[in-house]
Amino acid sequence: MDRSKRIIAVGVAGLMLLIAAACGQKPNVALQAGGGALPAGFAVNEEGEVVNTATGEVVGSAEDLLGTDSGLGGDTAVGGTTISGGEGSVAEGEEAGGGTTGAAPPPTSGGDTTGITDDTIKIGIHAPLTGAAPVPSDSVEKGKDLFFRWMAEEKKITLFGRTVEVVLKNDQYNPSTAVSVCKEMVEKDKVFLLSGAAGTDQIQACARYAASVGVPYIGAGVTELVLNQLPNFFATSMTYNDQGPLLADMLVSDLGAKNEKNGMLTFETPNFEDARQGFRDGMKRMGATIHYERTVSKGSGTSEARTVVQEMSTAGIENVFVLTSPVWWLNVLKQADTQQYNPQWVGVGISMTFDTVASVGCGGGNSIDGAKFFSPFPAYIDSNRYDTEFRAASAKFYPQKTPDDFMWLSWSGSKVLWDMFKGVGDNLSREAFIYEVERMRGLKQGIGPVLNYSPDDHFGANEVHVSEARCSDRRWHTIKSFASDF
Amino acid sequence: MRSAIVVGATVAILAVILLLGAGDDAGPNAFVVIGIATGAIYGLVAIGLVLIYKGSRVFNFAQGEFGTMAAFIVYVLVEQVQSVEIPYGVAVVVALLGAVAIGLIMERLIVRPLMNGPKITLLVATIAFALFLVGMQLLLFHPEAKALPPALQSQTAEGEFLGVSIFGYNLEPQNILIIAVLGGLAVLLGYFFSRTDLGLAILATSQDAFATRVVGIGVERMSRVIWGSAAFLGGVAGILYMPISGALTPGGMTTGILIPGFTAAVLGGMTSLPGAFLGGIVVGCVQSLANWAGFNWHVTLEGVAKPLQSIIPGLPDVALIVVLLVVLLIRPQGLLGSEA
Repeated sequence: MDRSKRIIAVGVAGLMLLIAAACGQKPNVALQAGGGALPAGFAVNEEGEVVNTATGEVVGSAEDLLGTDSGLGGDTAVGGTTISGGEGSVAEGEEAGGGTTGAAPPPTSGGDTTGITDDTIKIGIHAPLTGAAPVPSDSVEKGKDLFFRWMAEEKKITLFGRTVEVVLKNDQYNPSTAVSVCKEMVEKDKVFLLSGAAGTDQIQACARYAASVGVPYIGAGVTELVLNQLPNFFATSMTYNDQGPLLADMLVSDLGAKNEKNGMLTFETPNFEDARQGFRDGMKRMGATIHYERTVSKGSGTSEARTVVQEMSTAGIENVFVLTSPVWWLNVLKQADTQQYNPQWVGVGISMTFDTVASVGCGGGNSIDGAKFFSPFPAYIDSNRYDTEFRAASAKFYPQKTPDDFMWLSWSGSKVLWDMFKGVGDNLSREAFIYEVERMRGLKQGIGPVLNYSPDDHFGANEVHVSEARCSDRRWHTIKSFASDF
Repeated sequence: MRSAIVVGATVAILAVILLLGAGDDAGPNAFVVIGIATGAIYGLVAIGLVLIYKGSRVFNFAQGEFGTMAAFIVYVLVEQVQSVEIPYGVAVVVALLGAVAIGLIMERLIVRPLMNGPKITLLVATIAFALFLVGMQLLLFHPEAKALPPALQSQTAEGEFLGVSIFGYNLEPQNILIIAVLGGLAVLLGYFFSRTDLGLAILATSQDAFATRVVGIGVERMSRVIWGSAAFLGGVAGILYMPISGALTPGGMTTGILIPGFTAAVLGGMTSLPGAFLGGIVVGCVQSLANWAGFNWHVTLEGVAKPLQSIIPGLPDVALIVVLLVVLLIRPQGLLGSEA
């Protein structure tokens, strides 16, 4: 073989190496946009590595995870750094209540009012319209402002004369894309705030970007890693870390897992480490043991799905906590069906409890039947029990379309935002919004959990809904609402 | 002779692994079966890639999407057409014709105009066409996951398993079909390229188009045959694989199978169809055994035993790259590759 062919061959190998590196393990990929700090249970050791204090496991380097130049709390940080005194401080929350409880003074008038006009408030939402947890773009497109249109056009209620305009962008279930589209919404579309409802890495990446430019971010409570240090971030659901002990409580108290073999199957992202630790702590507290613990790359495919199913089946694992993308879990379910392996699947998350997952999962077999997952919103099939106006609004504005859980989730999120805006009042600015929201307590809209924020705690939820997959109608059903213990 | 040695060595390695794991329920034997079953899928994609490389010296990044498109066509005909019940076999034939049509359109609109340009231009064009096809899927079929039923069911209505169990691993009928189709195609295409006039004409075209034209062989016709056939093979791969992947999604073959398929093709030898078969099996087994080892082998660090996967994240990918580098350094033409 001559020299030129060897060079070509090695070049091809190098290319494959790069492709594999790009498609496989991507540690800390979501943490590259800025800096942050660690949640409870983690510490930085002498070597500068972030370690799990309970297991001693190294999560990654502190420099990679936290950054050396966080950009937080500096010039661009918002909330708690506002000027004292002055005229025109924002109104206190109405129904949201709470009032000003912290020591920090309220912001003055004349803050950043980007995205606010006399008659509109423009907000930006990112969602995975494609990727590993795709949601139907048509449903998201129709659902994004359904509640706001219902309020403005049917009930003739505005937010101090303003209606809400929503910009929606596809983050492709990719953190880099999420940052890119969030930046576009802030710089080009001039939105007032950003919001994201699904995808841990994407929410974290976008929230970090938002913090660096002083934009409020309202998102699902996913990881606490880094997000707990962002002054602009407000979680509207329980974090995975907090749901871990609750999940262990359900497993032991309701499902009898104490004397059974339990497993944990998660994606290999640092952003899930607090979720893993929360579940470990919870199981330990409940006197139950985790017999099987497995992390797999986010780029996993059929080979990994078959491997983990074979391992769990051989080990006799009876209960499995799963925290992966829905598409890969569907692959796992398919392999489980083939191996006639039917454990009790449990988990946390948002996109897992979409009816599409139950429908496809039941299409390949019945392993998913009876799976129980925590969700921040009730199952779509039960929506009338929580808010009868949702289906009425859908029928009014989109009579040709059958409403679904994506529109239902958007409706729920919109109600939270509505209450936040209402609580802040007329003198709306980004600074005022953050200042007031972090003092809101008892924020209750009847669908998602009750929210109680404070200046020191932007993770305001401590309740979940429990959804169960049923192959009889290929849907999720709500079996327990607003649960905070079992 | 050299090919026989390579195949023999590969089989011997797998046999030794199976022998060492005999009698151990948690041993690697079931994972060898998983590797072969998964590797057959990679091999199916690799064969299409090799066919195009043999015929036109191009890496076709759109190969996976021929398969996804075909799978979507089957899904629509079988699951969504309500007015008339379309038999699965008819849907498959229509889907394969659709895949071939897409391949021929690609050949006419993209490949042929760029045929005499730099190969890198054509390579980038295949990536663009793959993205175009993914966009079309999003537009036509929407992004949410769908369940494509298999050609062969895994269970009876009573829940009885219909496949075979090897070393404790249930191999479903659809996967057995994939292995059979892969083996059949490798032999058939090997014969086609070495024994038939058309196959030899295709090879001649790929080596020297001008000289081929001089002796009266139509280069354009050869190009059509190659791309149409490759699209057909891609379609077969998609229709067979998507039902066992758990979810049919836009771009599913590219994101799930194309990279391992490329690896299999390079490992086996970009010019060897039996090599694509072997490469697929090797890639599948390396991935699967690395997955098994990563969880079952432990390394003691500071007195704490930790599974290998926690020390080397992404171990299957790392193992695959190491194997690929070693093979290419020793045999740059791949396991069974040789000059056309």
